[in-house]
Order: sequence, then structure tokens, then C-alpha cells
Amino acid sequence: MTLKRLRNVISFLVAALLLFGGTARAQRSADSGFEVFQIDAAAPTYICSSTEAA
Amino acid sequence: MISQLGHNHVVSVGDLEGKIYLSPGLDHSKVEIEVPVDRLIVDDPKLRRQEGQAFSTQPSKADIEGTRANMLGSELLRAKRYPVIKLKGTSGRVSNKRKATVNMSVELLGRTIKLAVPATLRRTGDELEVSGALKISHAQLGLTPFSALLGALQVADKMDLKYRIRARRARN
Repeated sequence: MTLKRLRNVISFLVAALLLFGGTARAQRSADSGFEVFQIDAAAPTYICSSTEAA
Repeated sequence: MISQLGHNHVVSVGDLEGKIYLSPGLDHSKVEIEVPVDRLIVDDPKLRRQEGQAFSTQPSKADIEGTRANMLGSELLRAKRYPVIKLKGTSGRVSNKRKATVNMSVELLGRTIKLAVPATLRRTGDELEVSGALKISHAQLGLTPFSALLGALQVADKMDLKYRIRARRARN
């Protein structure tokens, strides 16, 4: 691999990392607008399915 | 005779793990729930009473254990291989009456099934309650209704699914 090609590969990797990091930061920022609620296992919470005889 | 023995069942889970992410405008809120299948309860007497006349009889302890073993076994939920049912969803637009449809992805038996689940939100301070009901079929979930005695004993394909989930605002 020539030095020029190696530099291009490194540039591409750096650009990809910056892009990925920016996207991840944007996602965290978007998520931070959400209020988080933890399901209360002690509360009378249920999912129930009933099925009758065929 | 066999059909009169009463094989209506109520399956429930009361010990859920998960989070609800409420968006500022409520639209596009998210939910993530995990249901460990070994916590599924068969024929809770209180819930059977709520289901009305068709569920008025209470199965014996042995019947319940047998039903539960069948449900978790290789013919239905295969609990040893798939110990958790994962549910993830994003709501659509939330109406003025706090009603929405949640587009759910249900990870069950290694497959992902899409379901549109109606939801009603009620918030009181730091507490949130989400509830709803829908009719689904075993087929929609990729399941085959359990049958025994060469099909003489069989549960119906259609299921009534109800839920009420209470959550508390997480402290940062």
C-alpha cells in the first residue's frame, strides 16, 4: 500500500468515526427530550390473555 | 363431555421489566418491555373472575400446573430455548383523549412479529398508566393453539389480550 493510499484510508476512517460520533450524539440529544418511566413491578401491572375452548 | 370440561384459560404476567419513554408532545413515545416466560401465571383466580361467566369455574391446582407445563413446553413457548419475550414499540399520534396506536415489535420464539396495539395513557404527576385491549390470534403470534387427545381438547385460536401497565418517572 502506498503512503497516499494509506493516508486516504485513514482519512476515510476518521471521517466515518466523526460521522458516527455525531450521529450518536444527535441520537442521545434526541433521547434526552424523553421522560423516562420505569415500569413499577410492585404496582398492579399485568398483561393478560384469555382464550376459550375451541 | 370433554368440551364441557371448561378449558378457558387466563394467562397473565404481573412482574414486568421495562421502560416507557414519553416524548414531550406524547406522539412517538416509546416502550420497551421484557416478559420472562417463567413468570407467566396461568388462571389467576382474581383475573378469571374479571373475565365473566365463561371463566367462572376455577381449575384445580393440578390442571393449572398441567396447562402451564404445556404452555412453556416444546409445543408452544419453548421456554428453555426462548426464556424472554421482548416487546418494543413506538406510538403514533396521541389524540386529545390520550389514545394512540402503538406499533409493537414482539420478539417471540426467535421471530419478530408486528402488532398494532391500542393504548390509553393516563398520567398523574410522576405516575403513568397505559392500558388497552385487543383481539389477536395464535396465528398472528406464530403459535399453534394447544390441543390434546387428538384435538378433542383444544383452545380457540382467538385470544382477548388486555393490559394495564403502571410506571413511575425515573429519577436522574
